[in-house]
Amino acid sequence: MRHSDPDLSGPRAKTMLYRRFAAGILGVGLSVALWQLLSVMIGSSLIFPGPAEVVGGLRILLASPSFWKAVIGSMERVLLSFILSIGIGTLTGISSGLNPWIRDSLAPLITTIRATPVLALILVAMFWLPSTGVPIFSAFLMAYPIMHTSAYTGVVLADKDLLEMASVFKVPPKVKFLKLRLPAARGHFLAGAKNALGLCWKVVVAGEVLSQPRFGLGTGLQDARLSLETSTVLAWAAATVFLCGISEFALGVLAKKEGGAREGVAN
Amino acid sequence: MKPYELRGISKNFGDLEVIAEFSASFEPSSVTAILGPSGCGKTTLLNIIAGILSPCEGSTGDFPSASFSYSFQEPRLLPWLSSKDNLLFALSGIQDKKIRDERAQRFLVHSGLADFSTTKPPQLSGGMKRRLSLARAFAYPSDVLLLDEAFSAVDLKLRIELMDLFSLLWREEKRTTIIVTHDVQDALYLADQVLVLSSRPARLVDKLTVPVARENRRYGSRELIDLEERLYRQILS
Repeated sequence: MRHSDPDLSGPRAKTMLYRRFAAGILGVGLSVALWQLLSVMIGSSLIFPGPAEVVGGLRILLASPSFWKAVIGSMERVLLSFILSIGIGTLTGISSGLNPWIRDSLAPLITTIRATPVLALILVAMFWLPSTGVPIFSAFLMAYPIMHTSAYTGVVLADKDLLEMASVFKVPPKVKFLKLRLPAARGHFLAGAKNALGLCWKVVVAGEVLSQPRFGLGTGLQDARLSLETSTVLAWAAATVFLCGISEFALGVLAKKEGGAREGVAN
Repeated sequence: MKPYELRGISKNFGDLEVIAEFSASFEPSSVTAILGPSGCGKTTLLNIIAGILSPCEGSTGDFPSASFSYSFQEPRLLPWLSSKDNLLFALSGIQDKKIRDERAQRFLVHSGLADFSTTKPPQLSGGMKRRLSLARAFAYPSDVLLLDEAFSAVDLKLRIELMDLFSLLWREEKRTTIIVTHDVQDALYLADQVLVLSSRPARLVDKLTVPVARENRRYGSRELIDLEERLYRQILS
């Protein structure tokens, strides 16, 4: 008497997967072709290097130990700022969802942080913090409002019918929070976490460009720019995009795995 | 134990008058069906009894001090919890874990869902979700049991199955029960007392007692044909 789930391993699903993959490959191919065409038209590798030069720059980077130190340094900063924004954002977001007084008192702070330009934040942070702390602080402040809002929305938008049911059965507030409000907020939370992670990468690298910690992707970018090595700048940027994509993918897999274990949660 | 009473209940939503001066008495350990056309205000009345809504006028007697179980129009199950955990969620106000577990397991067995105790609602059929919702309402040890169209929107076979399940569970713990339905035959199959509401604003237009013991009734039986005709006349008028 079970409902049959849509067969995700069936031939139709496989065809759809192949189609999506083929479309993705086609998109990449067209972009690379366009890039090559523009590079040939511009005719200067200093202004606009072609894909082959960037791949060459990337190969040199991959062989260099300082690149891997930079990757580890940036990853540590991203991870730390991400964890901080998740921890504090979730805490204040949930508290705001449960208590209008907390929501109203935090609203001006959230609005201010949200409206502050990232560069202004990095520049101010440079007065206060060491070079390794600036990217972490800036990324945390940029990602924090996203996590705050996601957690708040998840709590506030919990199904009213389910809350009414819980009230009729006099479910204790702690159980209601842990078993109803928190799982109901999961979809909003994951979407927020994905956005926050992407933003952390961008802001950490931007912060490193300006604050110049010893090892960091942003430091590498800035050094390459100062040496007028445009292809290496693009290689550093490509490495950043790749790492950001990989970490977002890993987060998605983790969420899916956890969602599969919990089965039935609406994302 | 004295009966629960509603006296002169009126309810408006802005300019919309939904219930007008409704009074009724509900005997302890009896089943009352509130019958009326769709959209007449039956659910509103049930929500006033449960304390979810407040009446604009009138008194709800001893209802505010009672505890309630509610089987809603939709099953209202937590999709991320297993069948058993859904029951345990409703029972979480009970201090003793042993009692919680025992009641959840007992009512899962009674409702024929013991083999699905670890299954989550999205993997259950519509009928099983209804049964689980009914089991949850019975598992929660309340003074008053409220059922809002708990047997509607399913085919006749499943409806009779659900009503028989209701009778089976009700015999286990005979609670004061108020069923809201728009189906005359459902009301006559299950209730000791039937209250008929007019279309909006809902007023009490008829009240009757079903003279046949519940265990001797058959669904759609001709024994109650006179009552059935009377109820249809009331609703259609």
